[in-house]
Amino acid sequence: MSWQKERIDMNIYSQGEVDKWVYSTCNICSIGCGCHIAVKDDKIVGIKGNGQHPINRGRLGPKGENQWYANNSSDRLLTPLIRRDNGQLEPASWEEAMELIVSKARESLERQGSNSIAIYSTGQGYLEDYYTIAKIGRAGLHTHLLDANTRLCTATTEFCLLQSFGADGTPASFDDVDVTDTLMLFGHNVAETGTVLHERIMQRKQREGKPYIIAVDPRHTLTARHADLHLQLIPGTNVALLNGLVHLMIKNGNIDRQFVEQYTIGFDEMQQSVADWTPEKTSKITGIPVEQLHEAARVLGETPSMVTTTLQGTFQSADATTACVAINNMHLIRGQIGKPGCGPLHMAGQPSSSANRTAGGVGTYPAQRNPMNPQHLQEMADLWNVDEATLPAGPEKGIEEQLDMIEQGKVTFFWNIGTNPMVSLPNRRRARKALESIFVVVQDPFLTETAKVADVILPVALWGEKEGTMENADRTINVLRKAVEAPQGVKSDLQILIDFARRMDLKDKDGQPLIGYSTPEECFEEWKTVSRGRPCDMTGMTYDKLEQHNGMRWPANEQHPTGTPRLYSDYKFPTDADYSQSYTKDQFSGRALSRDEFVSKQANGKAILHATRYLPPTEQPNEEYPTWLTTGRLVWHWHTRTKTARSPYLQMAAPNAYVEIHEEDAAALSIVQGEVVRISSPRGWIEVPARIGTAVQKGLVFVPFHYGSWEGHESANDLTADFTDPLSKQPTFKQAACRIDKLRKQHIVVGEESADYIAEQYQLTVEHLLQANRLVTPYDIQSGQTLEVPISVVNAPIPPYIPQRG
Amino acid sequence: MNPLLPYCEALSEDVNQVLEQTAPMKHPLIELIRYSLEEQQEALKKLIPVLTADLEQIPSDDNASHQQSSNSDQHPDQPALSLDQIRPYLSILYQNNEVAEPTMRAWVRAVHWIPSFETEHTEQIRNRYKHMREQLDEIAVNLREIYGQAAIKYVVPTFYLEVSL
Repeated sequence: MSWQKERIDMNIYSQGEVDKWVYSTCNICSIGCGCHIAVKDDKIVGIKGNGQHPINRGRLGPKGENQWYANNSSDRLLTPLIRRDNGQLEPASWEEAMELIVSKARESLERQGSNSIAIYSTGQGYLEDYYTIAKIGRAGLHTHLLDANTRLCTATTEFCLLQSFGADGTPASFDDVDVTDTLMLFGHNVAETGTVLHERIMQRKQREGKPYIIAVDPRHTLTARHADLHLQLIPGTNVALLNGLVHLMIKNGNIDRQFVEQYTIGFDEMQQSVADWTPEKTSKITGIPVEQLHEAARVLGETPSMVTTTLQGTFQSADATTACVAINNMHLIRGQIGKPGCGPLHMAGQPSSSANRTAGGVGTYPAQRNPMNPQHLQEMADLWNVDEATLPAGPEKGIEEQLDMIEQGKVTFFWNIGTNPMVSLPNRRRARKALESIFVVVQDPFLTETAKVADVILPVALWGEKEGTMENADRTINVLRKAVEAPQGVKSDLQILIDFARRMDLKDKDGQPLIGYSTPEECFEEWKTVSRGRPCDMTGMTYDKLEQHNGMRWPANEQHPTGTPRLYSDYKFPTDADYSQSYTKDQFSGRALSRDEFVSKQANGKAILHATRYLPPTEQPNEEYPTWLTTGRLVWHWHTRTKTARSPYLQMAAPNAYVEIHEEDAAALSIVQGEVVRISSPRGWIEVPARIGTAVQKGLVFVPFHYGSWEGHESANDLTADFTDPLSKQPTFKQAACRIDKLRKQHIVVGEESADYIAEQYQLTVEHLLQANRLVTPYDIQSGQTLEVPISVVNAPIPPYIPQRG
Repeated sequence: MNPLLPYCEALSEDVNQVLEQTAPMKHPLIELIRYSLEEQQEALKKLIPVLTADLEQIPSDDNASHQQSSNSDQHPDQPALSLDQIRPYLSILYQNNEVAEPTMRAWVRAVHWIPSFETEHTEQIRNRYKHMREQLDEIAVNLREIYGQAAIKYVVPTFYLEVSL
């Protein structure tokens, strides 16, 4: 491992010694750091890193260290709420709330059939929750509308892996990052989204000078600043760049011909698709100088080992799945997969979004079963003891398609579990209108922005108050023990789901309750039988083993009793039609291929190289909206701040949204540092302070997406467009068109008014006043002159986070 | 006449019309829509002659055993065609509609947001897609009657056939 020594990061607030430390896993990002929860007087009072856990050796990120404050927040929901006839949410008993949910679910089923019910869950729950959602949804309600906010963060990982390798599961792991010669961080701002992993990378870099780091990002992020080569491309041109790089690698002869012939199919078609992507054409479209393209292709083509990571810069961009498939192509043609230090490592955003994919709460059927394969559905029917005919088949629908269905009156019951879509969905006002029109259940510890559309709210337990497992970005399954009882009046997600199944009288073929387990561990034991023989086989795991080993990567079974650090080391890929998780999709349109079409490819255990056709972003700057808008994350906050805004430390670090503007663009508009400006898009507008610098390129602005109060006018998703990737159906948050407008008053200079005097009247500095009016000195101000005065200037510093603390 | 034929012919008309109307348009979503439409057009070009030739109303020997095993509520005027003969085309029609329909709706939004885009045919295209959906719904109902739910389960997406508890 890369860590030379442990370092126990700790954040406790306790008078006197804590009573106990409870084994757990961080519930923030997808790295999956091991930790222990401090408990005193039956309350969570802190956290410390687990020094034995190989992923972090005791380190924690800033959000991880502060996540526990939310548990003790005074605004926790402690009773269900029901929206009454007066339009208000009012407290109700669990009995009344659950009976209302059940009656509405029954009504929806009777009136409009199974697919009138949608369950939209999360990437922050536990595997046991997701598996139960899959079972209740598919075998109990027979709905095919199971989705999650993982659609917004990690769907592309799944679908690019299905396309190239036949099954989900990222091939490389963090162990490979530790030994690779070259690390390409493609749209992955790891310094802010996965601080512990970044620290792990940089510690080795400082020690050994390796890996050579290539960062691909339109912004000059903290990650890019630590890179050896930053490819600062124009937004929405990921596939163009990759096509250009693969073109050069082929031209330079950097192909492992033997590997391609023995272990892949589709090379000719793939080669043809990049044939005209010359460096000149690539440079013109991506904005990257030809010399940089040659240098990147040389490094990638000659390096003895390479890991490529991807995250939202790839997943939430135009051509998301095709870009990730192009990365898979690159690894395959170089034979750099299945070997130490080699392979694509498509990340996940949330701590357990991978578990949701694996368990079948979203996407395909549990344990990577193909929803278009009758044999797989028969297996599920046998495992669940239900009739196969009742299990819905075919490709899934993403959340944006579900909103379409709501607008068409086809979905009437929406169950929202552990996510805040009214802040996180693109073009959120459209989503709000849709959800306001139907019956919505919200399961959350807090009254979030999504409460606005809720008909029933169920208060749920948080991390530390329940037991279960999570899967991180590199297939590691970690266990989380229960540290304290949930507050009185609060239930766990799993308890609610089981209660719902009981009240709905969901039964198997023999009339037995469909959900036969009552605890997370019993659920996990059932799940293990479902996973048997599948790529994600977990039959070798138990809760105790997961704790003893500090996590295990699937598959973990008799053949691999301690787990599998790296997939495909035998170069056998799960592309046999009977076994694969998908018959794949058309790489351009996203159409699901039939079994016959898939069989005709004759992959049969070989990886699949695909043609990668570039399609420009759907929305681009234009006359009315001349600027690129991109959105993203800050190191200090997690998603919609439901938890992190309840930590005083994190909230103080980044209390408000802002817009990042390039200094030349700001100068051209005479916008001053901190000036509140209006950013408009065809969907809406926000008013936020400007942070002027060089982190964004010219012509691009960046707005963090964490802030979304309905009153605040600072929600990035009032601006974003709800277009999606054709294959993964992941929204393209990273590219939209917008306009910057100044918000100014006018001041007519009277008599001898000085610059100092005028600036003071408006609480501005003289420097800002001059800058806003393109004046050089205070003496340029003349009587009778009309000055522009910014309506507000706000100091919006974001303190830097220094992850390399030694 | 094969009961699917009129619906497929109507579908073909819609597909051809939308292809014609979108031919001059330049937009990433139109590229995707046209790609799907062209696949559907190809499938219909092959499927319609097969359905047209299917004039006999008596099952062939080849199909009898399959139909008996997979379908207990067969259509009274059982076509001679086996599902296998038309399955590849149906799959392309349905799965393309699954991706193209939401793409069309996204395109309608895009047109609304950036008025400089081509808008002349927006409403017509939206109506064409609505009509195409109706044909596919009808084809699904007929397929279920002819071949049975179990046989078509992996051909027709669940969203085209209401399933109740």
